[in-house]
Amino acid sequence: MLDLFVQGFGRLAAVAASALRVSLILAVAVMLSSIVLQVVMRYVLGNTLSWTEELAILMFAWLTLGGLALGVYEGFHVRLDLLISYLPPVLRLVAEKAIGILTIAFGGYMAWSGERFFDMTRGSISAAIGYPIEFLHGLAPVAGALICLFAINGLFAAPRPDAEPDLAP
Amino acid sequence: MSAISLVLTAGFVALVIAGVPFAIAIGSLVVIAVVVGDIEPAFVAQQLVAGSQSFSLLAIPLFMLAGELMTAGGMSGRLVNVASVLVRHRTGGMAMVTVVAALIFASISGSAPATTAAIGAILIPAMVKEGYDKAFATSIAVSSGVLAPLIPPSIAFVIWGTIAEESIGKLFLSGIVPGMSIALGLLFVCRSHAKRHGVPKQAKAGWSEIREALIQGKWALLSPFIVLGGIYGGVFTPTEAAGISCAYALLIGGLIERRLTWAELPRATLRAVRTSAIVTAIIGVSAGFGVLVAQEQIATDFAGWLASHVTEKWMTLAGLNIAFFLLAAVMDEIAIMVILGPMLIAIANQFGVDPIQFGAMIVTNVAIGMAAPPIGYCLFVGMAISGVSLGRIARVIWPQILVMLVVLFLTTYIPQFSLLFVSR
Repeated sequence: MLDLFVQGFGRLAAVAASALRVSLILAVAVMLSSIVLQVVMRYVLGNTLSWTEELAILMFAWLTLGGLALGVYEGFHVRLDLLISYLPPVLRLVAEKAIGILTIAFGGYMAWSGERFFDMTRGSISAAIGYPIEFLHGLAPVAGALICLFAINGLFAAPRPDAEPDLAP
Repeated sequence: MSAISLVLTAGFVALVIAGVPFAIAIGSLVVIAVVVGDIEPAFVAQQLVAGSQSFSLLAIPLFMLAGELMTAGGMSGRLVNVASVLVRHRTGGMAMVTVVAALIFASISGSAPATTAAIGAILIPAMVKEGYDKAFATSIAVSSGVLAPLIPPSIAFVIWGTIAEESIGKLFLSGIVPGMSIALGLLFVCRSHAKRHGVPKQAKAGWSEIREALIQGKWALLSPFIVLGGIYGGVFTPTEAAGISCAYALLIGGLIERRLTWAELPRATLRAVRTSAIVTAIIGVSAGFGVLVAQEQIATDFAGWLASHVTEKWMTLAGLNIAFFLLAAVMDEIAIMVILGPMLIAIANQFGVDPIQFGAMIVTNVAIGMAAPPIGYCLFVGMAISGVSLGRIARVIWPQILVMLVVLFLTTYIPQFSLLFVSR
Protein backbone atom coordinates (compact mmCIF):
# COMPACT_ATOMS: atom_id res chain seq x y z
CA MET A 1 0.00 0.00 0.00
CA LEU A 2 2.77 2.39 1.03
CA ASP A 3 4.77 1.36 -2.05
CA LEU A 4 1.84 2.23 -4.28
CA PHE A 5 1.49 5.61 -2.59
CA VAL A 6 5.22 6.32 -2.96
CA GLN A 7 5.16 5.26 -6.63
CA GLY A 8 2.13 7.43 -7.35
CA PHE A 9 3.69 10.37 -5.56
CA GLY A 10 6.95 9.88 -7.47
CA ARG A 11 5.05 9.92 -10.75
CA LEU A 12 3.17 13.08 -9.75
CA ALA A 13 6.46 14.79 -8.82
CA ALA A 14 8.06 13.72 -12.11
CA VAL A 15 5.14 15.12 -14.14
CA ALA A 16 5.23 18.38 -12.14
CA ALA A 17 9.00 18.64 -12.64
CA SER A 18 8.64 18.12 -16.42
CA ALA A 19 5.96 20.82 -16.59
CA LEU A 20 8.15 23.10 -14.48
CA ARG A 21 11.14 22.61 -16.81
CA VAL A 22 9.02 23.46 -19.86
CA SER A 23 7.62 26.57 -18.11
CA LEU A 24 11.13 27.75 -17.19
CA ILE A 25 12.41 27.29 -20.75
CA LEU A 26 9.43 29.29 -22.00
CA ALA A 27 10.05 31.98 -19.36
CA VAL A 28 13.64 32.39 -20.61
CA ALA A 29 12.42 32.53 -24.23
CA VAL A 30 9.84 35.24 -23.42
CA MET A 31 12.37 37.16 -21.30
CA LEU A 32 14.98 37.09 -24.09
CA SER A 33 12.45 38.02 -26.79
CA SER A 34 11.16 40.97 -24.74
CA ILE A 35 14.63 42.40 -24.19
CA VAL A 36 15.75 41.97 -27.79
CA LEU A 37 12.48 43.48 -28.99
CA GLN A 38 12.99 46.42 -26.62
CA VAL A 39 16.42 47.19 -28.15
CA VAL A 40 15.30 46.62 -31.74
CA MET A 41 12.22 48.82 -31.36
CA ARG A 42 14.23 51.59 -29.71
CA TYR A 43 16.95 51.78 -32.38
CA VAL A 44 15.32 50.46 -35.53
CA LEU A 45 11.82 51.88 -35.23
CA GLY A 46 12.57 54.69 -32.75
CA ASN A 47 9.77 53.47 -30.49
CA THR A 48 10.45 52.83 -26.78
CA LEU A 49 8.14 50.08 -25.58
CA SER A 50 6.75 50.46 -22.07
CA TRP A 51 5.75 46.85 -21.40
CA THR A 52 8.81 44.77 -22.37
CA GLU A 53 10.78 45.39 -19.17
CA GLU A 54 7.83 44.53 -16.95
CA LEU A 55 7.12 41.32 -18.87
CA ALA A 56 10.79 40.30 -18.71
CA ILE A 57 10.87 40.92 -14.93
CA LEU A 58 7.70 38.82 -14.49
CA MET A 59 9.42 35.95 -16.33
CA PHE A 60 12.55 36.43 -14.21
CA ALA A 61 10.43 36.19 -11.04
CA TRP A 62 9.23 32.76 -12.18
CA LEU A 63 12.78 31.78 -13.12
CA THR A 64 13.90 32.66 -9.58
CA LEU A 65 11.04 30.98 -7.69
CA GLY A 66 10.47 28.08 -10.11
CA GLY A 67 14.25 27.55 -10.30
CA LEU A 68 14.34 27.32 -6.51
CA ALA A 69 11.75 24.51 -6.71
CA LEU A 70 13.50 22.70 -9.60
CA GLY A 71 16.72 22.74 -7.56
CA VAL A 72 14.93 20.86 -4.78
CA TYR A 73 13.77 18.18 -7.24
CA GLU A 74 17.08 17.84 -9.10
CA GLY A 75 19.28 18.46 -6.04
CA PHE A 76 21.47 21.10 -7.69
CA HIS A 77 21.39 23.73 -4.93
CA VAL A 78 24.86 24.39 -3.53
CA ARG A 79 25.60 23.24 0.00
CA LEU A 80 28.45 22.44 2.31
CA ASP A 81 28.43 18.67 2.70
CA LEU A 82 31.97 18.25 4.04
CA LEU A 83 30.78 17.52 7.56
CA ILE A 84 27.90 15.17 6.83
CA SER A 85 29.98 13.27 4.28
CA TYR A 86 32.10 12.07 7.21
CA LEU A 87 29.08 10.73 9.12
CA PRO A 88 28.38 6.98 9.22
CA PRO A 89 25.80 5.98 6.52
CA VAL A 90 22.92 5.67 9.00
CA LEU A 91 23.53 9.09 10.57
CA ARG A 92 24.00 10.60 7.13
CA LEU A 93 20.64 9.23 6.06
CA VAL A 94 19.07 10.74 9.19
CA ALA A 95 20.69 14.10 8.43
CA GLU A 96 19.44 13.99 4.81
CA LYS A 97 15.92 13.18 5.98
CA ALA A 98 16.05 16.04 8.51
CA ILE A 99 17.08 18.42 5.69
CA GLY A 100 14.15 17.04 3.68
CA ILE A 101 11.72 17.75 6.53
CA LEU A 102 13.10 21.30 6.90
CA THR A 103 12.62 21.80 3.14
CA ILE A 104 9.00 20.56 3.36
CA ALA A 105 8.35 22.99 6.22
CA PHE A 106 9.91 25.86 4.26
CA GLY A 107 7.92 25.03 1.12
CA GLY A 108 4.71 24.65 3.11
CA TYR A 109 5.17 27.99 4.89
CA MET A 110 6.09 29.66 1.60
CA ALA A 111 2.88 28.34 0.01
CA TRP A 112 0.75 29.49 2.98
CA SER A 113 2.47 32.86 3.24
CA GLY A 114 2.15 33.28 -0.53
CA GLU A 115 -1.55 32.52 -0.42
CA ARG A 116 -1.98 35.17 2.31
CA PHE A 117 0.01 37.73 0.32
CA PHE A 118 -1.99 36.82 -2.80
CA ASP A 119 -5.26 37.47 -0.93
CA MET A 120 -4.03 40.72 0.64
CA THR A 121 -3.03 42.26 -2.69
CA ARG A 122 -5.87 40.84 -4.84
CA GLY A 123 -7.40 43.31 -7.27
CA SER A 124 -4.28 45.40 -7.95
CA ILE A 125 -2.77 45.72 -11.42
CA SER A 126 0.82 46.09 -12.62
CA ALA A 127 2.20 49.55 -13.43
CA ALA A 128 3.00 49.32 -17.17
CA ILE A 129 1.08 46.43 -18.73
CA GLY A 130 -1.80 46.57 -16.30
CA TYR A 131 -1.90 42.78 -15.84
CA PRO A 132 -3.62 41.53 -12.66
CA ILE A 133 -0.96 41.48 -9.91
CA GLU A 134 -2.20 37.98 -8.98
CA PHE A 135 -0.03 36.67 -11.86
CA LEU A 136 3.08 37.91 -10.05
CA HIS A 137 1.99 37.28 -6.48
CA GLY A 138 0.64 33.83 -7.33
CA LEU A 139 4.15 32.63 -8.19
CA ALA A 140 5.26 32.31 -4.55
CA PRO A 141 2.44 29.95 -3.42
CA VAL A 142 2.83 27.82 -6.57
CA ALA A 143 6.61 27.55 -6.11
CA GLY A 144 6.12 26.85 -2.38
CA ALA A 145 3.68 24.02 -3.16
CA LEU A 146 6.13 22.57 -5.70
CA ILE A 147 8.99 22.72 -3.18
CA CYS A 148 6.77 20.88 -0.71
CA LEU A 149 5.82 18.23 -3.30
CA PHE A 150 9.42 17.68 -4.44
CA ALA A 151 10.78 17.56 -0.89
CA ILE A 152 8.15 14.97 0.17
CA ASN A 153 9.06 12.94 -2.91
CA GLY A 154 12.75 13.23 -1.97
CA LEU A 155 11.99 12.03 1.53
CA PHE A 156 10.63 8.72 0.23
CA ALA A 157 12.93 8.30 -2.76
CA ALA A 158 16.12 6.21 -2.57
CA PRO A 159 19.16 8.35 -1.62
CA ARG A 160 21.06 9.50 -4.68
CA PRO A 161 24.71 10.46 -5.04
CA ASP A 162 25.36 14.16 -4.44
CA ALA A 163 24.97 16.23 -7.54
CA GLU A 164 27.84 18.62 -7.98
CA PRO A 165 26.85 22.02 -9.32
CA ASP A 166 27.95 22.08 -12.94
CA LEU A 167 27.82 25.67 -14.06
CA ALA A 168 27.20 28.90 -12.21
CA PRO A 169 28.41 32.50 -12.12
CA MET B 1 21.30 40.18 21.05
CA SER B 2 17.63 39.78 20.10
CA ALA B 3 16.03 36.43 19.28
CA ILE B 4 15.80 37.36 15.58
CA SER B 5 19.49 38.33 15.46
CA LEU B 6 20.37 35.01 17.08
CA VAL B 7 18.29 33.09 14.51
CA LEU B 8 19.90 34.97 11.61
CA THR B 9 23.50 34.56 12.80
CA ALA B 10 23.88 31.39 14.90
CA GLY B 11 21.03 29.70 13.01
CA PHE B 12 22.73 30.36 9.68
CA VAL B 13 26.03 28.86 10.85
CA ALA B 14 24.24 25.80 12.29
CA LEU B 15 22.17 25.06 9.17
CA VAL B 16 25.09 25.56 6.77
CA ILE B 17 27.34 23.26 8.81
CA ALA B 18 24.51 20.70 8.93
CA GLY B 19 24.63 20.55 5.11
CA VAL B 20 21.37 22.35 4.34
CA PRO B 21 21.58 23.93 0.84
CA PHE B 22 22.30 27.67 1.17
CA ALA B 23 19.06 28.76 -0.53
CA ILE B 24 16.91 26.52 1.71
CA ALA B 25 18.88 27.50 4.83
CA ILE B 26 18.43 31.24 4.19
CA GLY B 27 14.74 30.84 3.30
CA SER B 28 14.06 28.68 6.37
CA LEU B 29 15.79 31.18 8.65
CA VAL B 30 13.61 33.99 7.33
CA VAL B 31 10.56 31.82 8.14
CA ILE B 32 11.87 31.04 11.66
CA ALA B 33 12.66 34.75 12.28
CA VAL B 34 9.14 35.70 11.14
CA VAL B 35 7.62 33.16 13.56
CA VAL B 36 9.95 34.11 16.46
CA GLY B 37 9.52 37.85 15.87
CA ASP B 38 5.73 37.60 15.43
CA ILE B 39 5.98 39.32 12.03
CA GLU B 40 3.11 39.20 9.48
CA PRO B 41 3.56 35.80 7.68
CA ALA B 42 2.94 37.36 4.24
CA PHE B 43 6.36 39.05 4.68
CA VAL B 44 8.05 35.82 3.52
CA ALA B 45 6.22 35.70 0.16
CA GLN B 46 6.36 39.47 -0.30
CA GLN B 47 10.15 39.45 0.05
CA LEU B 48 10.57 36.38 -2.18
CA VAL B 49 8.75 38.24 -4.95
CA ALA B 50 10.58 41.51 -4.19
CA GLY B 51 13.95 39.71 -4.45
CA SER B 52 13.34 39.02 -8.13
CA GLN B 53 12.15 42.49 -9.16
CA SER B 54 15.40 43.95 -10.45
CA PHE B 55 15.98 44.45 -14.18
CA SER B 56 19.78 44.32 -13.69
CA LEU B 57 19.58 40.75 -12.36
CA LEU B 58 18.08 39.53 -15.64
CA ALA B 59 21.62 39.67 -16.98
CA ILE B 60 22.46 36.54 -14.93
CA PRO B 61 20.38 33.95 -16.86
CA LEU B 62 20.97 35.76 -20.16
CA PHE B 63 24.77 35.75 -19.88
CA MET B 64 24.58 32.07 -18.83
CA LEU B 65 22.45 31.38 -21.90
CA ALA B 66 24.84 33.30 -24.15
CA GLY B 67 27.70 31.07 -22.93
CA GLU B 68 25.67 27.91 -23.56
CA LEU B 69 24.59 29.02 -27.05
CA MET B 70 28.13 29.97 -28.01
CA THR B 71 29.44 26.57 -26.97
CA ALA B 72 26.57 24.70 -28.65
CA GLY B 73 26.97 26.82 -31.79
CA GLY B 74 30.69 26.07 -32.11
CA MET B 75 31.96 29.58 -31.33
CA SER B 76 34.03 28.39 -28.33
CA GLY B 77 35.98 26.04 -30.60
CA ARG B 78 36.72 28.90 -33.01
CA LEU B 79 38.03 31.04 -30.13
CA VAL B 80 40.33 28.22 -29.01
CA ASN B 81 41.73 27.98 -32.56
CA VAL B 82 42.48 31.72 -32.61
CA ALA B 83 44.22 31.54 -29.23
CA SER B 84 46.13 28.46 -30.38
CA VAL B 85 47.68 30.03 -33.50
CA LEU B 86 48.73 33.07 -31.47
CA VAL B 87 50.60 31.50 -28.53
CA ARG B 88 51.00 27.71 -28.91
CA HIS B 89 54.66 27.94 -30.09
CA ARG B 90 55.85 29.52 -26.83
CA THR B 91 57.22 27.61 -23.84
CA GLY B 92 54.07 26.38 -22.07
CA GLY B 93 52.18 27.31 -25.24
CA MET B 94 49.25 24.91 -24.97
CA ALA B 95 48.55 25.98 -21.36
CA MET B 96 48.85 29.61 -22.49
CA VAL B 97 46.24 28.90 -25.17
CA THR B 98 43.85 28.03 -22.31
CA VAL B 99 44.48 31.37 -20.58
CA VAL B 100 44.12 33.43 -23.78
CA ALA B 101 41.01 31.54 -24.95
CA ALA B 102 39.44 32.00 -21.48
CA LEU B 103 40.25 35.70 -21.62
CA ILE B 104 38.39 36.09 -24.93
CA PHE B 105 35.47 33.89 -23.79
CA ALA B 106 35.26 35.88 -20.54
CA SER B 107 34.75 39.07 -22.52
CA ILE B 108 31.55 37.55 -23.93
CA SER B 109 30.07 35.27 -21.29
CA GLY B 110 30.62 36.78 -17.81
CA SER B 111 30.25 33.40 -16.12
CA ALA B 112 33.31 31.73 -14.54
CA PRO B 113 32.11 28.11 -14.53
CA ALA B 114 30.67 28.48 -18.06
CA THR B 115 34.11 29.71 -19.17
CA THR B 116 35.88 26.82 -17.39
CA ALA B 117 33.46 24.34 -18.98
CA ALA B 118 33.65 25.78 -22.50
CA ILE B 119 37.44 26.10 -22.55
CA GLY B 120 38.30 23.16 -20.28
CA ALA B 121 36.28 20.61 -22.26
CA ILE B 122 38.40 21.34 -25.34
CA LEU B 123 41.77 22.23 -23.82
CA ILE B 124 42.24 19.87 -20.84
CA PRO B 125 42.41 16.82 -23.17
CA ALA B 126 44.55 18.84 -25.64
CA MET B 127 47.02 19.82 -22.89
CA VAL B 128 47.25 16.22 -21.63
CA LYS B 129 47.94 15.08 -25.22
CA GLU B 130 50.80 17.58 -25.42
CA GLY B 131 52.44 16.11 -22.32
CA TYR B 132 51.03 18.23 -19.47
CA ASP B 133 50.14 16.58 -16.18
CA LYS B 134 46.34 16.11 -16.04
CA ALA B 135 46.05 17.78 -12.63
CA PHE B 136 48.02 20.82 -13.85
CA ALA B 137 45.94 21.01 -17.04
CA THR B 138 42.78 21.01 -14.92
CA SER B 139 44.15 23.62 -12.54
CA ILE B 140 44.97 25.97 -15.44
CA ALA B 141 41.46 25.59 -16.89
CA VAL B 142 39.98 26.26 -13.44
CA SER B 143 42.14 29.32 -12.73
CA SER B 144 41.61 30.71 -16.25
CA GLY B 145 37.85 30.33 -15.84
CA VAL B 146 37.85 32.73 -12.90
CA LEU B 147 38.99 35.54 -15.19
CA ALA B 148 35.31 35.79 -16.20
CA PRO B 149 34.10 37.57 -13.03
CA LEU B 150 36.78 40.25 -13.53
CA ILE B 151 36.81 40.78 -17.30
CA PRO B 152 33.69 42.68 -18.39
CA PRO B 153 30.90 41.73 -18.72
CA SER B 154 30.63 39.92 -15.39
CA ILE B 155 27.73 38.33 -13.55
CA ALA B 156 29.49 38.83 -10.20
CA PHE B 157 29.73 42.60 -10.84
CA VAL B 158 26.05 42.68 -11.84
CA ILE B 159 25.15 41.11 -8.47
CA TRP B 160 27.45 43.40 -6.50
CA GLY B 161 26.22 46.47 -8.40
CA THR B 162 22.64 45.55 -7.48
CA ILE B 163 23.50 45.03 -3.79
CA ALA B 164 25.69 48.13 -3.49
CA GLU B 165 23.52 50.28 -5.80
CA GLU B 166 26.61 51.30 -7.80
CA SER B 167 27.02 51.73 -11.57
CA ILE B 168 27.43 48.27 -13.11
CA GLY B 169 29.23 49.82 -16.10
CA LYS B 170 31.87 51.41 -13.81
CA LEU B 171 32.22 48.19 -11.81
CA PHE B 172 32.86 46.27 -15.05
CA LEU B 173 35.71 48.68 -15.89
CA SER B 174 37.27 48.29 -12.43
CA GLY B 175 37.87 44.59 -13.13
CA ILE B 176 39.97 45.07 -16.27
CA VAL B 177 43.40 45.68 -14.68
CA PRO B 178 43.00 43.02 -11.93
CA GLY B 179 41.72 40.52 -14.53
CA MET B 180 44.51 41.21 -17.05
CA SER B 181 47.08 41.06 -14.23
CA ILE B 182 45.86 37.62 -13.17
CA ALA B 183 45.97 36.50 -16.83
CA LEU B 184 49.60 37.72 -17.10
CA GLY B 185 50.50 35.91 -13.88
CA LEU B 186 48.87 32.72 -15.17
CA LEU B 187 50.88 32.94 -18.42
CA PHE B 188 54.03 33.16 -16.29
CA VAL B 189 52.93 30.05 -14.30
CA CYS B 190 52.32 28.17 -17.59
CA ARG B 191 55.81 29.06 -18.82
CA SER B 192 57.63 28.11 -15.64
CA HIS B 193 55.68 24.82 -15.31
CA ALA B 194 56.51 23.81 -18.89
CA LYS B 195 60.18 24.74 -18.37
CA ARG B 196 60.44 22.78 -15.14
CA HIS B 197 58.75 19.69 -16.56
CA GLY B 198 60.29 19.84 -20.03
CA VAL B 199 56.97 19.98 -21.88
CA PRO B 200 57.80 20.11 -25.64
CA LYS B 201 56.93 23.26 -27.62
CA GLN B 202 54.55 23.18 -30.56
CA ALA B 203 55.28 24.33 -34.11
CA LYS B 204 54.69 28.01 -34.78
CA ALA B 205 51.63 28.71 -36.88
CA GLY B 206 52.33 30.10 -40.35
CA TRP B 207 50.68 33.28 -41.65
CA SER B 208 48.21 31.31 -43.71
CA GLU B 209 47.15 29.26 -40.67
CA ILE B 210 46.81 32.42 -38.54
CA ARG B 211 44.76 34.09 -41.27
CA GLU B 212 42.54 31.04 -41.63
CA ALA B 213 41.91 30.87 -37.83
CA LEU B 214 41.09 34.59 -37.71
CA ILE B 215 38.69 34.29 -40.65
CA GLN B 216 37.00 31.23 -39.12
CA GLY B 217 36.80 32.93 -35.75
CA LYS B 218 35.72 36.38 -36.94
CA TRP B 219 32.13 36.06 -35.71
CA ALA B 220 33.21 34.93 -32.26
CA LEU B 221 35.85 37.69 -32.10
CA LEU B 222 33.31 40.31 -33.07
CA SER B 223 31.08 39.41 -30.13
CA PRO B 224 33.03 41.21 -27.35
CA PHE B 225 32.99 44.38 -29.46
CA ILE B 226 29.22 44.19 -29.82
CA VAL B 227 28.65 43.47 -26.10
CA LEU B 228 31.18 45.90 -24.62
CA GLY B 229 30.91 48.48 -27.40
CA GLY B 230 27.15 48.50 -26.92
CA ILE B 231 27.41 49.02 -23.15
CA TYR B 232 30.09 51.71 -23.20
CA GLY B 233 28.80 53.35 -26.37
CA GLY B 234 25.59 53.99 -24.45
CA VAL B 235 23.61 51.86 -26.91
CA PHE B 236 22.24 49.44 -24.33
CA THR B 237 22.30 48.53 -20.64
CA PRO B 238 24.30 45.51 -19.37
CA THR B 239 21.06 43.49 -19.20
CA GLU B 240 20.16 44.40 -22.77
CA ALA B 241 23.75 43.58 -23.78
CA ALA B 242 23.25 40.08 -22.35
CA GLY B 243 20.08 39.71 -24.44
CA ILE B 244 21.83 40.95 -27.59
CA SER B 245 24.71 38.56 -26.88
CA CYS B 246 22.21 35.64 -26.83
CA ALA B 247 20.55 36.84 -30.04
CA TYR B 248 23.97 37.15 -31.70
CA ALA B 249 24.97 33.63 -30.59
CA LEU B 250 21.65 32.29 -31.92
CA LEU B 251 22.13 34.04 -35.24
CA ILE B 252 25.73 32.92 -35.75
CA GLY B 253 25.29 29.39 -34.36
CA GLY B 254 22.01 28.80 -36.18
CA LEU B 255 22.26 30.61 -39.49
CA ILE B 256 25.99 31.03 -40.21
CA GLU B 257 27.78 28.15 -38.46
CA ARG B 258 24.62 25.98 -38.79
CA ARG B 259 25.55 23.93 -35.72
CA LEU B 260 22.76 25.11 -33.45
CA THR B 261 19.71 22.97 -34.12
CA TRP B 262 16.11 23.42 -32.96
CA ALA B 263 16.51 20.28 -30.84
CA GLU B 264 19.60 21.69 -29.09
CA LEU B 265 17.93 25.00 -28.15
CA PRO B 266 15.73 23.74 -25.25
CA ARG B 267 18.63 21.63 -23.94
CA ALA B 268 21.01 24.62 -23.92
CA THR B 269 18.30 26.79 -22.32
CA LEU B 270 17.63 24.23 -19.60
CA ARG B 271 21.35 24.04 -18.80
CA ALA B 272 21.36 27.84 -18.47
CA VAL B 273 18.20 27.67 -16.31
CA ARG B 274 19.84 25.21 -13.92
CA THR B 275 23.07 27.13 -13.57
CA SER B 276 21.39 30.49 -13.13
CA ALA B 277 18.87 29.01 -10.67
CA ILE B 278 21.77 28.12 -8.36
CA VAL B 279 22.55 31.84 -8.15
CA THR B 280 19.10 33.44 -8.46
CA ALA B 281 17.60 31.15 -5.80
CA ILE B 282 20.13 32.43 -3.26
CA ILE B 283 19.53 36.03 -4.32
CA GLY B 284 15.74 35.58 -4.18
CA VAL B 285 15.58 34.15 -0.67
CA SER B 286 18.19 36.62 0.59
CA ALA B 287 15.92 39.66 0.10
CA GLY B 288 13.90 38.91 3.26
CA PHE B 289 17.08 37.99 5.11
CA GLY B 290 18.59 41.35 4.15
CA VAL B 291 15.55 43.30 5.36
CA LEU B 292 15.64 41.52 8.74
CA VAL B 293 19.42 42.05 9.09
CA ALA B 294 18.88 45.77 8.37
CA GLN B 295 15.95 45.95 10.80
CA GLU B 296 18.02 44.35 13.54
CA GLN B 297 20.93 46.69 12.66
CA ILE B 298 23.31 43.72 12.77
CA ALA B 299 25.45 45.04 9.91
CA THR B 300 25.69 48.64 11.09
CA ASP B 301 26.28 47.61 14.72
CA PHE B 302 29.12 45.33 13.68
CA ALA B 303 30.62 47.97 11.37
CA GLY B 304 30.43 50.56 14.18
CA TRP B 305 32.00 48.14 16.65
CA LEU B 306 34.78 47.35 14.19
CA ALA B 307 35.46 51.03 13.52
CA SER B 308 35.73 51.77 17.24
CA HIS B 309 38.14 48.89 17.85
CA VAL B 310 40.20 48.89 14.66
CA THR B 311 41.25 52.35 13.60
CA GLU B 312 43.64 51.43 10.78
CA LYS B 313 42.04 51.21 7.35
CA TRP B 314 44.70 48.84 5.98
CA MET B 315 44.18 46.46 8.85
CA THR B 316 40.41 46.38 8.34
CA LEU B 317 40.76 45.70 4.62
CA ALA B 318 43.31 42.94 5.30
CA GLY B 319 40.92 41.46 7.87
CA LEU B 320 38.04 41.56 5.36
CA ASN B 321 40.13 39.80 2.71
CA ILE B 322 41.26 37.10 5.12
CA ALA B 323 37.70 36.62 6.39
CA PHE B 324 36.37 36.37 2.80
CA PHE B 325 39.09 33.86 1.84
CA LEU B 326 38.34 31.68 4.87
CA LEU B 327 34.56 31.97 4.45
CA ALA B 328 34.82 31.06 0.76
CA ALA B 329 36.39 27.76 1.83
CA VAL B 330 33.12 26.71 3.45
CA MET B 331 30.51 28.92 1.82
CA ASP B 332 29.18 29.80 -1.60
CA GLU B 333 30.73 33.07 -2.87
CA ILE B 334 27.42 34.46 -4.13
CA ALA B 335 25.85 33.78 -0.72
CA ILE B 336 28.73 35.63 0.95
CA MET B 337 28.18 38.64 -1.33
CA VAL B 338 24.42 38.70 -0.86
CA ILE B 339 24.28 37.91 2.88
CA LEU B 340 27.30 39.90 4.03
CA GLY B 341 27.08 42.62 1.34
CA PRO B 342 25.28 45.23 3.48
CA MET B 343 27.73 44.69 6.33
CA LEU B 344 30.75 44.86 4.02
CA ILE B 345 29.44 48.08 2.46
CA ALA B 346 28.82 49.61 5.91
CA ILE B 347 32.42 48.79 6.90
CA ALA B 348 33.84 50.19 3.64
CA ASN B 349 31.85 53.40 4.17
CA GLN B 350 33.13 53.73 7.75
CA PHE B 351 36.69 53.68 6.43
CA GLY B 352 36.06 55.84 3.34
CA VAL B 353 36.94 53.16 0.77
CA ASP B 354 35.97 54.08 -2.80
CA PRO B 355 32.82 52.01 -3.54
CA ILE B 356 33.96 51.01 -7.06
CA GLN B 357 37.41 49.97 -5.78
CA PHE B 358 35.68 48.06 -3.00
CA GLY B 359 33.53 46.29 -5.61
CA ALA B 360 36.67 45.25 -7.50
CA MET B 361 38.17 43.96 -4.24
CA ILE B 362 35.04 41.92 -3.44
CA VAL B 363 34.80 40.43 -6.93
CA THR B 364 38.53 39.55 -6.92
CA ASN B 365 37.78 37.67 -3.70
CA VAL B 366 34.84 35.97 -5.43
CA ALA B 367 37.12 34.92 -8.29
CA ILE B 368 39.68 33.46 -5.89
CA GLY B 369 36.94 31.64 -3.96
CA MET B 370 35.70 30.00 -7.17
CA ALA B 371 39.11 28.44 -7.85
CA ALA B 372 40.54 27.84 -4.37
CA PRO B 373 39.97 24.44 -2.70
CA PRO B 374 38.05 22.95 -0.98
CA ILE B 375 34.88 24.33 -2.61
CA GLY B 376 34.52 26.48 -5.70
CA TYR B 377 32.22 26.40 -8.71
CA CYS B 378 35.09 26.30 -11.22
CA LEU B 379 36.90 23.65 -9.24
CA PHE B 380 33.84 21.37 -9.44
CA VAL B 381 33.52 21.95 -13.19
CA GLY B 382 37.23 21.22 -13.77
CA MET B 383 37.03 18.04 -11.68
CA ALA B 384 33.91 16.92 -13.58
CA ILE B 385 35.66 17.39 -16.95
CA SER B 386 38.98 15.72 -16.12
CA GLY B 387 38.01 13.29 -13.36
CA VAL B 388 41.03 14.45 -11.31
CA SER B 389 40.52 14.39 -7.52
CA LEU B 390 40.32 17.53 -5.40
CA GLY B 391 43.51 16.54 -3.55
CA ARG B 392 45.56 16.32 -6.76
CA ILE B 393 44.31 19.68 -8.03
CA ALA B 394 44.90 21.29 -4.63
CA ARG B 395 48.58 20.23 -4.77
CA VAL B 396 49.22 21.98 -8.10
CA ILE B 397 46.88 24.98 -8.12
CA TRP B 398 48.62 26.96 -5.35
CA PRO B 399 50.93 29.01 -7.67
CA GLN B 400 47.82 30.26 -9.50
CA ILE B 401 46.10 31.07 -6.20
CA LEU B 402 49.25 32.91 -5.12
CA VAL B 403 49.10 35.03 -8.31
CA MET B 404 45.47 35.90 -7.52
CA LEU B 405 46.33 36.82 -3.93
CA VAL B 406 49.05 39.20 -5.15
CA VAL B 407 46.50 40.84 -7.47
CA LEU B 408 44.03 41.03 -4.56
CA PHE B 409 46.68 42.81 -2.49
CA LEU B 410 47.27 45.35 -5.28
CA THR B 411 43.51 45.85 -5.80
CA THR B 412 43.02 46.40 -2.07
CA TYR B 413 45.83 48.86 -1.42
CA ILE B 414 46.36 50.71 -4.72
CA PRO B 415 43.10 52.46 -5.74
CA GLN B 416 44.45 53.33 -9.22
CA PHE B 417 44.92 49.62 -9.90
CA SER B 418 41.16 49.10 -10.21
CA LEU B 419 40.14 52.67 -11.01
CA LEU B 420 42.50 53.23 -13.97
CA PHE B 421 39.71 53.02 -16.57
CA VAL B 422 36.92 54.36 -14.36
CA SER B 423 35.96 57.97 -15.01
CA ARG B 424 34.80 59.78 -11.84
